Amino acid sequence: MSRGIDQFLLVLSLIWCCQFSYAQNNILDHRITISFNGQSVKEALKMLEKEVDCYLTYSNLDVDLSRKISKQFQNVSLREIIGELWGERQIKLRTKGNTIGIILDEEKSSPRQGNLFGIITGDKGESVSFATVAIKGSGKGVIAGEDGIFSINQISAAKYTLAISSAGYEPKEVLVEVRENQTVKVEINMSGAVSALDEVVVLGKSVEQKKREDPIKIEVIDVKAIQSQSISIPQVMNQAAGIKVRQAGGIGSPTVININGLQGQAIRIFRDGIPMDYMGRAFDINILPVDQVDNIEVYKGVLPVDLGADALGGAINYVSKGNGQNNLSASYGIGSFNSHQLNLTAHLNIPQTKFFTSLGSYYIRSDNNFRMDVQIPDPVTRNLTETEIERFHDGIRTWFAEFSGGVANTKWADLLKFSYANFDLNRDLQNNVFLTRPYGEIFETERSSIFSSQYELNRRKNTLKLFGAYSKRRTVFDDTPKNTYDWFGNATPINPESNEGELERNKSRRRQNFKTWTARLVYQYAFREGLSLNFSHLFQDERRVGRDDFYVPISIGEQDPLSFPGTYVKNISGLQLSSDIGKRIETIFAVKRYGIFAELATQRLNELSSIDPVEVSNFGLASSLKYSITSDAFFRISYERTTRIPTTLEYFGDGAFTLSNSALRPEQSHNINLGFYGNLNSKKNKIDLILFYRAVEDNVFLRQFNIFYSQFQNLDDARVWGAETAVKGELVPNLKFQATLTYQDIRRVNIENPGERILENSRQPNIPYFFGNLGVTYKPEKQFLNGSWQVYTNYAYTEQFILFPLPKELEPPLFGNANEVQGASIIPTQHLIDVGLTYNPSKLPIWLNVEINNALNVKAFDGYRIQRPGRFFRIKLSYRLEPK
Amino acid sequence: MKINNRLKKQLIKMKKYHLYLLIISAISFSSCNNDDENEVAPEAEISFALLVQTDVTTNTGFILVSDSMFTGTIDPLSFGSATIVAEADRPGIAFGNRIYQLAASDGTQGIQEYTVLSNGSIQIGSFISADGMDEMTILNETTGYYKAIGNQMRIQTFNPSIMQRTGEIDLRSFPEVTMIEDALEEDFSLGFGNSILAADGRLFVQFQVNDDNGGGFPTIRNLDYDILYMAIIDPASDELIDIAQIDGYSNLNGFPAASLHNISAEGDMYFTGIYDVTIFSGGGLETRTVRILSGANDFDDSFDINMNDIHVYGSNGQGGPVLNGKIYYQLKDKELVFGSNQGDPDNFPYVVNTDGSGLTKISGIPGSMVPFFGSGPVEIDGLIYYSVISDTFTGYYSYNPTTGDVNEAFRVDGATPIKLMKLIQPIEN
Repeated sequence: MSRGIDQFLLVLSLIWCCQFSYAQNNILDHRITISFNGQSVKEALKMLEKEVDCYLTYSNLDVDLSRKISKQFQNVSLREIIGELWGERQIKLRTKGNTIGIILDEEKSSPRQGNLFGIITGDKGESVSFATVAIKGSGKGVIAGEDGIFSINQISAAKYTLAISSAGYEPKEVLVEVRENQTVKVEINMSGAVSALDEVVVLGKSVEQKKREDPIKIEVIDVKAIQSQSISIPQVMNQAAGIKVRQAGGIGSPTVININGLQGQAIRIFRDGIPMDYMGRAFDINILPVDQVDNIEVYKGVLPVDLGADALGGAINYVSKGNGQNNLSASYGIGSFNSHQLNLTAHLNIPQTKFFTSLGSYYIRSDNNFRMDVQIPDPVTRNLTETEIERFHDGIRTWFAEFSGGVANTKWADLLKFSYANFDLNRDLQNNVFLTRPYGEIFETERSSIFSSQYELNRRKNTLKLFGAYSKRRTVFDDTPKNTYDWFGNATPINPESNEGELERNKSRRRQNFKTWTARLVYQYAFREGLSLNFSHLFQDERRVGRDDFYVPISIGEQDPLSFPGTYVKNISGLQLSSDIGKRIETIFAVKRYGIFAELATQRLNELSSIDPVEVSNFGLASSLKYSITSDAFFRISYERTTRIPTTLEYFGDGAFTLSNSALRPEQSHNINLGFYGNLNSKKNKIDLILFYRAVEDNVFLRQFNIFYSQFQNLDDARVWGAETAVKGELVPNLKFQATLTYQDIRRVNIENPGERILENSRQPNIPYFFGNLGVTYKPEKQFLNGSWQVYTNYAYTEQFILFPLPKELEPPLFGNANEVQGASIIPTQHLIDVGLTYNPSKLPIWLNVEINNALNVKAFDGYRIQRPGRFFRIKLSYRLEPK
Repeated sequence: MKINNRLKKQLIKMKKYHLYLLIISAISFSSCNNDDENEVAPEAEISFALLVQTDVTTNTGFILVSDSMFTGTIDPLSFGSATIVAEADRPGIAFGNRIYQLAASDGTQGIQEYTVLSNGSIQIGSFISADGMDEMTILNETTGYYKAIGNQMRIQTFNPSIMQRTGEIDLRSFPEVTMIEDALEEDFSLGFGNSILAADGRLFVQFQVNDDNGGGFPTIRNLDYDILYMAIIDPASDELIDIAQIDGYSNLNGFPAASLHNISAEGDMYFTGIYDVTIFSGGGLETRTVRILSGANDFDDSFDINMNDIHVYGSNGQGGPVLNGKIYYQLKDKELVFGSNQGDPDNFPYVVNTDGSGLTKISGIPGSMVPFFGSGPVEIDGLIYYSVISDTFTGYYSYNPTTGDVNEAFRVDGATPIKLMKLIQPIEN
């Protein structure tokens, strides 16, 4: 039933999109008499609308609306009058009812386009990095580069007012005239930093800043600004408040993301608003280089409907590179542990056409052979001794390439893009969870082919975005060793007749094939500026089948559970109303519907069979309100009732020792955020303060079921409250800082099992609950060695936390001694310092970066015994060619 | 029994005071006359330990210690010496004043020593690493045995006093064992069973025929191999004494601490299994007890108690202590169906004569859900203690075989009792 509704909605939406017709109509031949006496074109058009009782639609960029006109028309057709108003521009007129669409005749008018190229400097001639350049009245704009250069291509020849703004500078407006077939150059000088007592008036804000100030709390991490650095995405994210990313090893190792107290499956990951499932591991946080994204959006609490997903506690959205302008970016990084990283991204608008092509790609390899301490048993006594070893089987080799092509800025599409991507991963596995057993031959691979298409159309009040993708993924997990290994990498041959695996009792080579269809539709209707309605629908269909080459049936006639095909279909819809009330209040209200259908064969004790399909439907709602005190200071409160639907593994088990549980209930949560954003003591220093509360019901945990089996079950509830704060600003000129601090109190509540009630209100174990970060960047004004320099350092702190749960009464206090609890396993307090240096020769678009991670070479742990690398080095050379 | 900290400290002080007096007195007496025929042997101090599970997800809990049997309602938080343990539902064994657990407090597999001191505190001792650790047994102060999944027919030996592995006994080094294996068809091989017991001055190690094409588990693919073997080894020489065997019964299934191995006052060894290991391929739950008489080298053919015959099929019983010709069990009154009635509180105490006759339900003790591995009945100081775990009660009941009295021994507040143990402090000379 739910599938039918979803398909109906999809079809309805498509029909709606297609029914916009441009059929001719006699209204254009309506003859009128009208006089314009010095009115602007905009006013003249309104007079026409009134006179003929019609509605005119047009693009602000196609006509100079401020041009004054004085002319009388006697019994002249509407078609001719509009033509006069457009001057020499060739137009096409289309009608539907009494609506008249005025469209620039591309063929005849395209030569009347020009380009704008500019450079923004400050009082002292310094480049103003990443300034926002907006074309007033058009809603369009760009972000200047780090070198202050920007360009806007293929815009209609006309006069424009550019509004330029950048933190620390007085906003500025500049009048420019774009001439036909010319590239107009404009040099913009922005006056000095805003005085400490002045009110900051920012006429235009960057897209990132606007998102930061959305009624929904979004942490926008501007990755583009740090792409010259050798930094990894987990490091970038750990510098933000309320976010903790923990890794179990080097590049490619398993990662846990915690946002405002919730983690694991509660957090969903997106790429450009699309759930990442179809991408496989290509955009895994532990692999993806910073060069592949412009920025990272972290949603805390409420998710807007266009992110169609059943996230319980937040989401991460990677925003891909590219603003439609020509560019070429290449980088090569080399570092400790034989790490190499190559990135190549490019975008080319084919001259004189609307076509473009682009490439995004990376290649990564690393041995991840850092040194760490492990407990090694004496060969005779088996007593443990802590010994430093070098990891010897933790390497990763992976590459990704995505080719795209399409058209942009046509009369029928702002963007139509087709992409094909390929992903290849080979990764070794070094040890078990507790680091008691080294592996020397286990590896996993993934090969993916991903086809996707994207369509966007923005016409006045209507915005339509369509996305479709099909991906084929093949994964292999291989545990077919010929040897066993000790921690020093010494191999001992296994009897060839043995069926012994390294990880499990028996050998295994599990192959799985996934076919995933993804489609998303987003439609927005803007009733007026500040009032819009969004509809979003996401459809995902994943089919899975596989086999284990070494599967040994444990009963007669038993079939390999992986060989049974599985289906997991997800439909998520949402409707969102965004509105402002006066100048100070902005609100968002959304309703969502989550639906899944899943079917899979699985094992129920000694019986292997297909269990009943699971069909779940649930509703959620979200609301957010922002109250602006000034243009740069506001309060924000949000609430969401959200749902996370269990995964196939949680519903159906693994066909081996994790049993199915089709009676699982979705996890649900009440999420509340209360925040303040504003100036601290000067206009340069900002504070972002958030209080958050989560009430999670029906937590899903894997529990021991009986002597052999485990099962995912709904257990207990959780309550989370916490506070996070981020302070950013400039200590002294050219010395910027960012400090964050997070405390999150995550507690188990409503424990049903009387045999566990001692843990009522106890802290959820094995999750950091107090952590912070301090980053400082210094960019001297003076050039040295004919180039600019940037020095930065970052200090990360994580308070100790405990591996296993403890009754609340036995919990060590914050900064207390956890060792007082006998037998407690502690993940110790962590202090990490990274330092880096970036050099950019003034005449070359080249950046050279050197970074030292864990500069103090301290022993640091992300999990129990999971040691992070000691001091290591990375060097990165970047080349970025952008339009001049 | 709720012991507040102040009271506990007073008790500890008193204990110390008494200990000093005892030592001083002992020294005084001994220094006066070493040959005094009237010398009174110092009495060993007794402690009681209770292992509780507090979290099923991480399978962790606490060891709680008291110098007298627990009574009343126990609040685990009131025990200042409470010590975190991992693998809480697979309790280890008590020996002297020490508890040997099957994992370290952080969950690392192996043997972890916890020593209960005379002042009531717990000292976390040394650790022997054993990946895939599943069972152990202790013969005396200096000799213990364990096996782990990776050890493949090689019993590991260790010294429980200094907590070091001391060597191994490879069952395949015995010609009698290799003869059995050589006679097997291709794709079948020998592997450890579950039972390992050091008793009666000997070491008993179960092994069985595994199907290499059946995940390494025994199957009914060849019923000729549905045999239980028990290697009987001389600890003094590590040589094989004999191989006992029973047909048609492939596993005794019992963790040493799981109340499934019991020794009578006469030294006879009773082994109880919960299920037929061919459960994977069609076998089922089967509560069955077999016996090797003291000094004998084979199973007692005249003894075979099968609850599927005298109670109900699949009763998932916990075989318990043997006392005065009776065996005490905890049996489910219906066939256990995993995922269905596992949590029903219908496991009740029963007693049966060692000749298999007179199975009787002990009335007055409420039903319990399916017990954990180690929470079967135990005998302490002549009383049989039954754990009861249900929505309304978690704790122990006691049964007095002499008087027939049934009493609520103690309740546990907020945690699941797993195993009750009696510890004996070493006598200070």
